[in-house]
Amino acid sequence: MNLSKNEFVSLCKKSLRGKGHHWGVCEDLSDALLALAINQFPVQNILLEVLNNKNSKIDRILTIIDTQVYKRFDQINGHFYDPILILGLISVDRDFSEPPLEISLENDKFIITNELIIGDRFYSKKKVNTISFSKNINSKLAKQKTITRISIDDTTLEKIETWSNMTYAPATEESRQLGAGSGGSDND
Amino acid sequence: MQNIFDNKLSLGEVGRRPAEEVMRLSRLGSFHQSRLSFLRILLRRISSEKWKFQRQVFDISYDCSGTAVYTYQLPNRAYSLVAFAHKISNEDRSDRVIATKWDATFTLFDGIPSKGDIERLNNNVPNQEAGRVTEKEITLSRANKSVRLWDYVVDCLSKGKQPDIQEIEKVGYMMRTTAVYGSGKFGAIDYSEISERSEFKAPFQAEMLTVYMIRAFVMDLLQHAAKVKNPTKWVKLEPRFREMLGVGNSTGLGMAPFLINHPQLLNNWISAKETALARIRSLKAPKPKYIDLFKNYIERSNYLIDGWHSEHELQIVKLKKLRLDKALLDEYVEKFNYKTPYPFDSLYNWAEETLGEEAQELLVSLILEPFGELVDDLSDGMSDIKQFSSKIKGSMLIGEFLKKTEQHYAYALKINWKHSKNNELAWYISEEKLEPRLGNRFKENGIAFYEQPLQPGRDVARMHCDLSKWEHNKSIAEFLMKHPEHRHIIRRCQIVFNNPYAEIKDNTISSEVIPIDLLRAKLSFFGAFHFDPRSDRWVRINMFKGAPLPQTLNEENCDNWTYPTQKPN
Repeated sequence: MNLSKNEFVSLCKKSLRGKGHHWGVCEDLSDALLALAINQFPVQNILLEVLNNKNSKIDRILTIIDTQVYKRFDQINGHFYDPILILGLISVDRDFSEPPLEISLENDKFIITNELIIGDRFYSKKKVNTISFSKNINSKLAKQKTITRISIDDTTLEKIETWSNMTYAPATEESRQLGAGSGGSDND
Repeated sequence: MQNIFDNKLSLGEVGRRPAEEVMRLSRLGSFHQSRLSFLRILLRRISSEKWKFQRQVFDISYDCSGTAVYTYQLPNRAYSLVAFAHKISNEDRSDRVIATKWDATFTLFDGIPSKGDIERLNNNVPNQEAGRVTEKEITLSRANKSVRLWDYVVDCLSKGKQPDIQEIEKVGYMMRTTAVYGSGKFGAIDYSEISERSEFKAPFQAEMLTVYMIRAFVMDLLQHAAKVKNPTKWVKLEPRFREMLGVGNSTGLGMAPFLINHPQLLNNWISAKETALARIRSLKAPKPKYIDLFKNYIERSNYLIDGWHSEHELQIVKLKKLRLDKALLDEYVEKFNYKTPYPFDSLYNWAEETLGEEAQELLVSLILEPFGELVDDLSDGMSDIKQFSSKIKGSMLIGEFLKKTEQHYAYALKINWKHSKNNELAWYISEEKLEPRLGNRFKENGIAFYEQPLQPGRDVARMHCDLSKWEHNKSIAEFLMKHPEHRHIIRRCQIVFNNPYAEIKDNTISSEVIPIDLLRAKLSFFGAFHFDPRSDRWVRINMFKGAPLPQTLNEENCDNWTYPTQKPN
């Protein structure tokens, strides 16, 4: 199915919430996933990976944007799970007017410029211990366009929606009568 | 006059009303439409840019089902309403989200649709949430008939006579929309993709355009129904009746979370209106022509109030008070000395001391009415086109954060959140067609588990409790590392610190909350009037009632219709 950006963000937020992530964490991760999605990274797989990972491991990477270490240090060390998300998080956190930034997830290099994230879209490491940042970009920036629709196959969508569905209250007659203030006829 | 306010943000000598006063639910629930309402912005643009309206297709059968297409041609692009009329039974007609059939369904198409487009849309639009639209579509909508008025008017016209004006006035519309989806919903184009188009820069312009074009379709469908009922004797509805009929709207709880979930946008709306009011209150000696116009609107607003009926006890009480207050206002305005320096400031101050909130807010809208050249530019700043959530400033020190929280959320920190009545309600989404609902957490089993983050007051209090235990020279980033559960409310607080009107300064989960107050605030910015609650969670309203139809809209009449010039007779 081809989702609009709004639908994709909504799907991410709900599924991450269904997984038990805190609301604010869902917001940032969904933004990061959208940034990757419009740059044609295989976000359906990335989202599934995140949903299969332990929540506390994911929470840790948000420190990178909260402290903006990528602006202040050349290198950081630690245990960074689902590191591809870091590219999305930093892409959203930066101002588009800032100069390009090269991010090395250990040996794999990516460049963030404007809203573009340039690099190996099939990067799939689940954990890195070192991340480097550099504003000295030597390589020529590849021409790349962002997309406006996010394609997710039906099987994967169904798996993701299993998590989203956990955020909905079961349909009961009591809820139907009281929750939305029903009553009265609409044939007037 | 305008030279005083060259800078759009400059206010003059009288400041804006404080957020602590404006952002209370009872006041938000007393807002009225104004010249900064979105449908008014749209009509001004259509007329000033001379958009051309045309009916392209009207393929409606004898049983009033079929397809119609209407197009607005702009200087450099076109938008088309693709309408599908359906025959449904009374048992299937429901205004709730859980409905699956409607009298008519619509989409706003970006351009002029081909036959292939119409066929594709015919397979999807009638199914609404169960169908899919594409990037070629901007909105998705549906409407139900006002059965009683529809049958009556069709019957009259088919017999060759005009309907009774009193009957028309009682309802005010022939169809009411029950949803107008935009912004990427169900496959439609994202707002971020069209927000740079000048016609969509103000908020909800595509949605307003959809409803305005629906109004034209409804009129054609109505006359078609009369024609097929009696092809030899039927007559057209007289133009004066056509203009009296707006498009109704039935709105439930879905609209309330929107306001809480978009604090920056809410701030921009209220900020524009408050800036407009402050600009006019700052005029030391307005020219007599503006005073005359104001007096004229004061008089005409009585006709609007006369036509406002409700059977709901909440609104009956408010309307009774409004009518009493309006009589006081009329008397005061009549005797008021407009040579008093800052006359509108003086008038407003009197109203604040003397009248209830319904009448105060009506006065605010009436004060704005004559001053288009002074306030209309504010509509440019009412949108929020950001695609991503607001960034958290993790470097902010806890001491500073606490101080600002205590300043902006004083109301929330005073509430005893352990008291059940302050914590009684929970906002949640039902799996039944994802309908937003509001339930009693202590009585409805298990709903608290599904609670949405729509209680900023309570969440701020919880966050403040944890944050107070930290050293003031630590950073918010350090706090969030230990307390990711407060991430959403930390972000929200930082938005509110810089945007005074971003937060509703009331408890949204109290046993005493009236959800329709939230609905009314949003609907007033759409340009709705004649708010008619059906319960504390549902409200019906009217849009475009009295407005010129697309065929007669021009620069002279595009803004001078919200207050009727005479009492209907």
